[in-house]
Amino acid sequence: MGLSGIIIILVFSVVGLLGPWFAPYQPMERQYDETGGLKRLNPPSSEHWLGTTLYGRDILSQVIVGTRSAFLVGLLTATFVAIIGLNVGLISGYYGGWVDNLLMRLTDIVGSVPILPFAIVALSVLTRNIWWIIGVMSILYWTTTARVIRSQVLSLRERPFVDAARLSGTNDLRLLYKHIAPNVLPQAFVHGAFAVSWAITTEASIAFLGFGDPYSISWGTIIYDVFTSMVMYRAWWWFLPPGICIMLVVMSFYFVGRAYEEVADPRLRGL
Amino acid sequence: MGGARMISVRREPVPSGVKPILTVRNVVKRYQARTDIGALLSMRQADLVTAVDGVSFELREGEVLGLVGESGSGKTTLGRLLVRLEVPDKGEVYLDERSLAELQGAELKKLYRHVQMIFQDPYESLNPRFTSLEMLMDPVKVQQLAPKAERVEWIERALERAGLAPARDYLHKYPHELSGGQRQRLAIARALVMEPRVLVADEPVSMLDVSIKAGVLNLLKSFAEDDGMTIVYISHDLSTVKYLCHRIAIMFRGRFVEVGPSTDVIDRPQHPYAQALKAAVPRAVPGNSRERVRSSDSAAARLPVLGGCRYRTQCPEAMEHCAQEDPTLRKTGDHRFVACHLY
Amino acid sequence: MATPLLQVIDLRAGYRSDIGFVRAVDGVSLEVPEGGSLGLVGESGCGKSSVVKSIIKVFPKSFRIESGQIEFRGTDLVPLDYEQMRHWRGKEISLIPQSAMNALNPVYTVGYQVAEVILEHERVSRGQAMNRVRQLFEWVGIDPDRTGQYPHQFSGGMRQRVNIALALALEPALVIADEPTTALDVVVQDQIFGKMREMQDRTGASMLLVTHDISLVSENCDTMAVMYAGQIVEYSDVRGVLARPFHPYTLGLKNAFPSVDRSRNEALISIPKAPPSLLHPPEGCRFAPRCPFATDRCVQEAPVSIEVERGHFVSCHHVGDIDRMREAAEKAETWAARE
Repeated sequence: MGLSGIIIILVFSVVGLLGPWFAPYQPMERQYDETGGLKRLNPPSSEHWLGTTLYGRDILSQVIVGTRSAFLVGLLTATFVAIIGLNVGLISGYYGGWVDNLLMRLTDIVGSVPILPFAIVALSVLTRNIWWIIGVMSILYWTTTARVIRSQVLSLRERPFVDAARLSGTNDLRLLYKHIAPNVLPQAFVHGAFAVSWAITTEASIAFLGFGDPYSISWGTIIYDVFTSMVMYRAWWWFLPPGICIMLVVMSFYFVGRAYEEVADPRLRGL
Repeated sequence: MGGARMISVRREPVPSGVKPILTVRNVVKRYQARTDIGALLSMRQADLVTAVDGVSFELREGEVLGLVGESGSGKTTLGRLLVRLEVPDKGEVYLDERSLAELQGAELKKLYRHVQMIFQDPYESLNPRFTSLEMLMDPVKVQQLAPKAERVEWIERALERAGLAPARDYLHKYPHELSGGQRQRLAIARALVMEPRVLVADEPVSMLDVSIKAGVLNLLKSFAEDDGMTIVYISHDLSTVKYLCHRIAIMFRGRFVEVGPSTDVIDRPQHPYAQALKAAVPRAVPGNSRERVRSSDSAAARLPVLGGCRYRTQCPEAMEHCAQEDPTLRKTGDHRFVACHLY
Repeated sequence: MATPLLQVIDLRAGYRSDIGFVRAVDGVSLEVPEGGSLGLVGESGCGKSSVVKSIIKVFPKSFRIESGQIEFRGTDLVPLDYEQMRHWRGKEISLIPQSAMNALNPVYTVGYQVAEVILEHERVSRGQAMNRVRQLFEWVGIDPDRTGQYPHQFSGGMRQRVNIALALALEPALVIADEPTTALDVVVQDQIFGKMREMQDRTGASMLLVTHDISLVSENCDTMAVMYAGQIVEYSDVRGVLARPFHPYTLGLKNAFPSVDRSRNEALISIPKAPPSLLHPPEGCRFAPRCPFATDRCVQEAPVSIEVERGHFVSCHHVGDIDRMREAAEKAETWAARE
């Protein structure tokens, strides 16, 4: 399962990295046929493997360029989420007391904010730009990670090897980051993988609601275009590809996450 | 199992037999019993468990002291107090006349070059993510034990002194690649890296196979005999204590009930609890019919005791006086002390 | 000679692992007499827990019994599956597990759990079952008023007592005790074994005691089997094995045990190196790499079981040399030479 996930991801990353050079056309360029007419809503053909949009743009090229955006959004968000969640979890779990209380209250509050409404409001106030989207998502999604890491730290903290490390004369910070952190990193990674899936889906949702970045092409914005042009039921070749891509990438990151989870926690291996 | 001896150039000569290296005075340590929210909110006195309830003793350099007791007797807590993993609620622990509780920052860091501890579970006391080298390098770096070029050599010496030779074979192994005995030796090497004068060993062999116990015990014995290390050996197993220790202190519910030279105490125990402990040890002697333990087995006997001697509910010799006054340690012979009204 | 209650005949069983089949039990035969007890002694990894698993048929999917028979009162238990074993488990054969922590369900009260076992096998009312539970608790030394409490409210020693109550609830014919007192104090251990012997006297039950502690077996069992690397290396009545041990491993164990009665200055020996991998066991004697008396023959040829005295079996090529071996085994240098 994990293997298939990795393969799919690899394929998509190659496409995302190198694709735009190989894309047959400029994604936003209107395509004209021999007679000078706009190639509106052409179904898939040999020149346009995935057909064209209502505005005459090549869908395949758009999807390829969208791949890059998907990875950017996914990986960046996941990284931020992992960093924030990891640190909050580590500090909260290790120090306990008022620090823990404060951080957990914060986690509760942040965790209770619904992402889409918040995103809508935030993006209306700020500009609708891909970096803000990443920011908004990162700010809200780290809570589960933090909780999971915290509970792991709580149990790790009692283990004799931590006491033994104290006996070396290490200070708290070093103990936390050098000794305890490596033991929770696998969990953070697993959550990171899931975060990528979540981020891509959420970004697509945000775009679908009309709050996507108008200057960048992502699979979400493609679907938004389809939807707003009201031709969804006629042009299946337009919304299907991005939808399938989202599904595939999301699933594959999930698989990778689950597979790594089994490796990271031997108990799940059913021995 | 020789191996390179640690060079203790750093150690200032301490005139032995004069001042004790470790002094414990009236130490008390309490914990919040792990219970429900009600207890946490009310913080009642009754919910506090007194793990160590007024213990005092002195340790001479080079001595091996055995701390014996069942789980719940406070021996592990006392051990942790000796290495400042815990701080007493009352009373003091002194190392060379300096109170451990007062140490902060850089001085606290230096403490660990004098005292070290090894734990019961060899696997749990090692960080699963570190190789032996990484694990031992950490204290070396933190404490600046050797200049960069000599660090690996320092570590190898510690490994070999702990019986893991050739050291090179063990440097890059992870804990899960080692056997139980090897893990415990690795934990010992970690303590040795600091060249401690005092080693607190908390049940170091109870989780090891019989055929391997002796190796580790003999290793500890050699630290005391060859290197003059002071050792506090915590165990519930009387037989290993007798093998290793000069002196033993038997603990019951946070107090010392009998203290004395190990052969004397074990061969001729005086306190009823000590007698029960010895009587309860199974013997591998064919046709053995030892006297069974006479102490009370009922559930009621194991409840906390209010007032008087804490052993009285289980003691076959309990008298009326025992319910009224809690006995303190009194001298019953050459270096022997017992806390019991029978004496 | 009466038929033994339990007879294990040439049992072979093990685990499927990522790298191959680990045969934890490789040709083990033993018997538990009616009303008597057998002590199965060995260190970690010798396979004794696997023997227990094979008898009681509680094991993970990766475990498999390859061949052999386990005769209990005339029925061979090997072909039975988990469901079929339920008839026996608890009622005829019960287990006192090693880890008290894991054996009790944390979400049910202890009283409920013991009562369930009773109700499962006997037609009594819940009230009657609870009465039995209270009696059992009283007998094993737990306050009968605590039947309504949960496992986490008990200390380790008390939880183990609950396990014992569970195992004895239906007065089974065979009680298997797998390291029952490992985590417990010596005084509690003594009390528990006292109770077990009382129980045996009263009900005529048999016991299979699995442990690493020879002294426990010495005091509580009639016969002893010493297990090493998946095989039984020495087998006899307890007196025989302790007074006149024959196998070098047994000699090693005997001299490795510190004793309260020993003097401080008697050296303890430790057996160097470690047991062989059961993934690819050696051709010859499995103890040879660690044995101070091993010869070439030992390395090449696996020893068979020889009856050295009546009822005393040993698997070793050099039983003839036993007097010299016994003497040499007491010295630490003998063993150190094998490093």
